[in-house]
Amino acid sequence: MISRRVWRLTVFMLVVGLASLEAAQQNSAVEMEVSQHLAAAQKAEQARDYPAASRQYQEILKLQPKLAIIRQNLAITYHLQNRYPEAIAEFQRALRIDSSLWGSDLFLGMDYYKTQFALALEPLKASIALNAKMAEPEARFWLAVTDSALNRPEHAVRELRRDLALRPANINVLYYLAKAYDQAAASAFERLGTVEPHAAAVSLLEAEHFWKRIARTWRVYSTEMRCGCGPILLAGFQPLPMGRLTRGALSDLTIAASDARANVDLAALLTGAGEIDRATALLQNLVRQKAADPRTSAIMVEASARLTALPQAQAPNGRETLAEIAHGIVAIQLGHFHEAEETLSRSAEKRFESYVAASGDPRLRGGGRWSTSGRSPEASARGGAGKCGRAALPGAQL
Amino acid sequence: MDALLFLGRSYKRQADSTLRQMVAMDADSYGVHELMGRQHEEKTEYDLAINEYQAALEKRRDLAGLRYAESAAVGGATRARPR
Repeated sequence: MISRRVWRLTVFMLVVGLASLEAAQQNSAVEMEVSQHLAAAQKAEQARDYPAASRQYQEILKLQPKLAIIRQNLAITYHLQNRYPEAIAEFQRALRIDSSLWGSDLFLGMDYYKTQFALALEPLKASIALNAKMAEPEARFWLAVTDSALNRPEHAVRELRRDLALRPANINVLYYLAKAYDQAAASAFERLGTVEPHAAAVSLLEAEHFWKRIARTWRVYSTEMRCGCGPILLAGFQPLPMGRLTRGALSDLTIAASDARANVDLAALLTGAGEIDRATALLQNLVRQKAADPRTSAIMVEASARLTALPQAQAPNGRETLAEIAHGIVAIQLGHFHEAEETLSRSAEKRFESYVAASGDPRLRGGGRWSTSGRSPEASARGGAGKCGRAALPGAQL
Repeated sequence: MDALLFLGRSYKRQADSTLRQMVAMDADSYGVHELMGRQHEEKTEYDLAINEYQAALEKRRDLAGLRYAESAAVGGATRARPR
């Protein structure tokens, strides 16, 4: 699909290039020869004989080496033959002659993506600056895939959103946007595990992911807990094969006693696994802490209340505003995802920076050093290895 | 910590929402089948995942990544079935 889109753009570039050149031709002997080669090149392109087209353009450039548009067309024929290093060199020559060739910048970015990700960004941005109307949709797409390859999923999300605004009915942009969101989610969870591997949130993610994976073996029922929590949805396990859920594995789940949601979920998990005593102890402890608010069963309300109740002093550097997080949660509840993302990103960044400064660990600097693709949330959060080439898609629900 | 957790979840929700938009646009596109396959695989619904990956491959036989995904799902299904 992408190649078809690029193909249309490529043909457009070639035709426009030739048309503009033909209009500029004069009737001298050399220019007559140029015209003949041009016609032959055009014919070869129509027949998709790109090596032949390349040869015709090379002949023209022997006669008139300063024709930037011909250099661009030659480079495009290299691009169409997947001869990326030669295409890059030719696009660069074309741009040295005429720096206003937005198509050369656009294709240069695409071809750098095929060879050296980091170099793709600048020419792609330049193409937008030169001709936003023509270049922007495709350039945004390539900026996004480059950002994604550089493990900068938040940037990729931004570029694809812009692309989607320009091409709202394009299912391929949606496809890459969905993947970028996945990558961004995995990246956030990975950072979570990097900052504090034993945080309640990490265990919660693990529990939720585990829950999702075994959901088919569960029968879910609602039960009234005598401990005063009100109706809590618990799940009962069907017998599970040994090795998929062991008491040893569950003992690794360490959560904070104050984390209501994590405790409720872990209690359900333990109940299902037959560890009733541990589940009861967790819930009783939770009830003691939440006695003043026994009906707070909605997860988001619990989380929001817990956050706003936390003293400001708990923030490691005193800069993080818990109100910001609460605001983000409310925005999610209202379905204002972009607003939530901006608020939470800001807050997470502050917090992460403080940990980086405190830890002095050079691996934490710069972010995005770890590949998040191919990891389950728990693998991302714990820093373990996952399947290659697949983005994590945790089952965590708000 | 909480900000990162909710940020990740927010992105996850948007991924789901985007997939729903894709389904509304063209439920039979290779991208929809691939992403659905991935979701099924995560839930260990390997048979459904394989079906989706195969449907995606019907649309795009040239995608090596899909072949890998399908193989992984088949492997998962094989491991999951009691012997």
